[in-house]
Amino acid sequence: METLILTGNHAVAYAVKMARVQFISCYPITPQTGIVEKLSDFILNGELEAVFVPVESEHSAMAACIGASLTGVRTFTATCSHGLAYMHEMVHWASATRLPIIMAVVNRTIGPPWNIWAEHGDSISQRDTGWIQLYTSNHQEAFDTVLQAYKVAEDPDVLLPVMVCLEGFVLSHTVQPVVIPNQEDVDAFIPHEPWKHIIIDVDNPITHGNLQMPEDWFYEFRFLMHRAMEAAKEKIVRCSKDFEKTFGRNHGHLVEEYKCDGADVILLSMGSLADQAKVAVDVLRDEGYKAGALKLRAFRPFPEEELRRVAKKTKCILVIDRNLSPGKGGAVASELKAALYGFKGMPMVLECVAGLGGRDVTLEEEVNLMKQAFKVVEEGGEPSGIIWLGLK
Amino acid sequence: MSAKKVFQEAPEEYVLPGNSACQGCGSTLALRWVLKALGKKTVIVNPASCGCVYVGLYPRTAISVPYIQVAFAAGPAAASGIVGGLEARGEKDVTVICWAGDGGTADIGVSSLSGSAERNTNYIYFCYDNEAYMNTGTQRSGSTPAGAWTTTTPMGKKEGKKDMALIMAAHRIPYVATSCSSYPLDLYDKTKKAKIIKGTRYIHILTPCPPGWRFDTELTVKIGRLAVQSGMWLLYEIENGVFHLSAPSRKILENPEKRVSVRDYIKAQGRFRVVREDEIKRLQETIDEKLEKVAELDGKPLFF
Amino acid sequence: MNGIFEVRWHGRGGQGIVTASKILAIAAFNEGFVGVQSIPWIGAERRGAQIEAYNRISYAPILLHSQVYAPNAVIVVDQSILSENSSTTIRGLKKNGFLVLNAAHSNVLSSLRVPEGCSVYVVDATSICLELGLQVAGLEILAIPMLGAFAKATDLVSIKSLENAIKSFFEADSVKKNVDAILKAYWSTRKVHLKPEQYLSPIPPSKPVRIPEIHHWTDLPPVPTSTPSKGSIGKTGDWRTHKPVVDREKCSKCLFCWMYCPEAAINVDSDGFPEIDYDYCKGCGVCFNECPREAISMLVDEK
Ligand SMILES: Cc1ncc(C[n+]2csc(CCOP(=O)(O)OP(=O)(O)O)c2C)c(N)n1
Ligand code: SF4
Ligand code: SF4
Ligand code: SF4
Ligand SMILES: [Mg+2]
Repeated sequence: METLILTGNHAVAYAVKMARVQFISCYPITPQTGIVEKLSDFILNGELEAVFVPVESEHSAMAACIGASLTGVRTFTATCSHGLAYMHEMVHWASATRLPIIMAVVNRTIGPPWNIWAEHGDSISQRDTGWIQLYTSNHQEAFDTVLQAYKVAEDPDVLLPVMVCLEGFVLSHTVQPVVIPNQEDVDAFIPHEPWKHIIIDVDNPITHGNLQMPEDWFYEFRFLMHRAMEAAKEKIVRCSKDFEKTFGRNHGHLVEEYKCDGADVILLSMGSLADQAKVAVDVLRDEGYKAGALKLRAFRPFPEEELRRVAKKTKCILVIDRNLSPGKGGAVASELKAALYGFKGMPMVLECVAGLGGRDVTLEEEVNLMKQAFKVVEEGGEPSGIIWLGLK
Repeated sequence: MSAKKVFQEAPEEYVLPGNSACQGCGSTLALRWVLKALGKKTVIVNPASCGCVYVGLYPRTAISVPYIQVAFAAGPAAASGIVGGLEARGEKDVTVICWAGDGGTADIGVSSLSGSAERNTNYIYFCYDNEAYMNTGTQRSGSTPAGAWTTTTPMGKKEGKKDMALIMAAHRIPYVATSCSSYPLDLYDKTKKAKIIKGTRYIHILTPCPPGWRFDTELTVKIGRLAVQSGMWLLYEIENGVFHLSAPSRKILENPEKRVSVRDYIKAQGRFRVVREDEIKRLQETIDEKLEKVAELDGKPLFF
Repeated sequence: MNGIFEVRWHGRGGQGIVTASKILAIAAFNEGFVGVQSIPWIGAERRGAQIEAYNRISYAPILLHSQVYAPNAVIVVDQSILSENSSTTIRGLKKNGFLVLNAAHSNVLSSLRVPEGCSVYVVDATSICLELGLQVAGLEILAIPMLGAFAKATDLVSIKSLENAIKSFFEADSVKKNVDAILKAYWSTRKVHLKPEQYLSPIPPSKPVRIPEIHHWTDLPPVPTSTPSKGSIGKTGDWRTHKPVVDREKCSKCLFCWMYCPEAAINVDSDGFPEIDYDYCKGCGVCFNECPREAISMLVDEK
């Protein structure tokens, strides 16, 4: 065990190396590129024994991972933004083939205008593809989550690919200390057993993908994907607990609560803002506000039950979304509201869209935003549309 | 080699009868012979095309080697992944191939194909060329020849056919060949040759299609033969950059009396009904010129 | 007519039933029906395989968009379909409905079973197509004359409306042939009188079940994979209209037929003779065309 000072990208690369990934296919895009560059170094100097296929597009990168995963080997790719959008067709193909591919998404806006900075909209646009999506808040979590992702994805009750999301620049290009565990412990945590549900074997030839008629079983196969997602909730929790047993850390399982008990307003967010929200809560608590923070770690599967459990404790949940669906709002807020609707004793939900195009979100802004929410609660007010943070 | 001899050599069928291909499908005929040449230890990647449909419906398939269907543009990249995965798994004696239509090859998949060839991925790419998007009901592709009716070229295609085999040869891959489903033994021999070469190999097969080309199902083999005998379609190999005409095409060069006029080829198919006589004449001239050039090239390196 | 009149067409790919069902919709609209619908059936099979198409015809706008399960009329364009599987063709057919057949053979008619009160009409659409040269890529467009037979049987649409529909649908040079086919069929369609024992209670409508071995989602693996087998789409011998027959006297055992069969439906027997697998031979005729000894003939397939 050692502690290294790493960029978020390199933290991911180290985790991929320690997961003994056997096949990597990637296409460069800022701010993800650092991951593959580091992995190429690992392969060159013999620290990682993996086949690396430098393809000519992200569509091909995912296609190549699908091909490799069909042979039963552990695969990895990374992308974001335009690359992820370009890959979209194959993102669907991977999950419906139920392949445990892991992809790091270094969240970035989608243009125009060109903008390479942080936003969650790229991975949020892939939410209906059937991928598990885990959002990370710091470098250590990014590292740990990659390892956990392999365990969850390869679980026979799950067999779904996982996106491990970290914000571009905010996490990818900054450095923080990262505890690197012993290889033996990682090996024991995620031993690799090739999956059996679909595998290329010339002695057992199968065809995959051929047509099904409407009256056949397509509908049921999609139902099975949904069931696997449901099963993944419990698996993510168990994996995170097992991880804690071995490595002594957890990052919340599906959601992470921070001082939510007795809080009148809880700030719900994903990624780096969720880490920062804890500081905002401390500031507010010092000033006498009953504030709490809640981090959404798993966006898919969406942890409805956990969110309701926490929601019951409070009067108001304020959501900060670093993504926007024009004409609706932020994704986390809409999904939270849908999850609470119809249940007894649910709080008011206020929604804020912030940090698009990498616009920085400061501690003061988070604190002030929460104070606005407290005001609404005290005055017995109602939600009044999206709060735009620092709109000029 | 004779039909009788290949029967002894390769009696095994890997394309099973009772599939959903049309009557007289040139593509399944070609695949039958490709798989006879490659044998059991073969993995097929098949992007969106008739090939996804003609194998039949879940939970059965007509193909008795692994047959992995992927999205339209994804064939070569998925094949690269399988090649890499098998390498990581330490399996050395499996042949990976991509079986794609002309649209998947010349249009939407060309970037992925080119990338795989530039990386010299160790696989064989087969384009079965029925000269249009047949799976979606006969729309033009980059590989549709000039003059051909398709549903998106109701008055005949204005532009000419993209020459994929030469484009692939320009990637300087070790083996490029053309063939035709009407010459199963030519296809069989070329596939066997390709099988033992390492790196990217490309075989482009003309496969007549009765509904798309508008001819009677019993004429599938005859139409392909006319394509070759008229010089409209040339059979050749480019091995390590050196161009060799194959026997059926050489035959029409050496024995002009064995040549048929392109008119016979055109008139045999409903898809060319909009082609005018003067256009046929011009086409004949182009073919005559092409054959002269090809005669000079035979046995010579193609590139500098 | 009360409510919605529903029609189911049975044919093979390439015989024009999808086109004919569209023409019927246009004709019915011309006739004054406000609600008309034509529904193609999209399947995996290519030319030759059995397919279906549907119509709905009504005086009021049609809001239904699901498939047709209990038709008032069934039109069978290819008579071999009826003889192969008559319970499939008349499934769901309502009492007092119509069965309109292209049937030239009396043995088909004598073994026919229909729901009570149904009227059966017959026309020789095949001969009409052959006579008028109504063919595309070697296949008779049987569904066109069947429109005339349907008009005669049901009186729902007039010849005039059908003619106008044809005019709006086809290019000028092929209108005459199509209209002639409809007219000829109209005048030659005759009603068949069945014996009392040929009537039965209607076969209830059903959603098709294609994969009987799977019953429930718990039988499914996480991802669908298919295993190799002959007949991945069924017995494609059904698709055949003509049957290749090898004359062993003439055969030289060169095996060209085996080599060129796109279907791999020709085996080689222990004496080296080609042996056609009629379960799967689709009857394309390639072997017939390629045999250097003319040892193969294509005979009309009387299944
Ligand atoms: C991205 C995408 N666009 C369009 C399609 C629809 N599509 C499926 S197959 C096909 C045509 C295939 O043509 P070709 O490659 O020539 O093969 P063929 O059908 O002729 O065998 C098209 C357009 C698709 N599946 N995916
Ligand atoms: S459309 Fe053409 S290529 Fe496709 S299955 Fe039919 S004959 Fe074969
Ligand atoms: S092609 Fe004709 S002669 Fe040759 S084996 Fe077949 S039937 Fe016999
Ligand atoms: S007709 Fe001949 S070539 Fe065609 S499927 Fe039947 S046996 Fe094969
Ligand atoms: Mg094509």
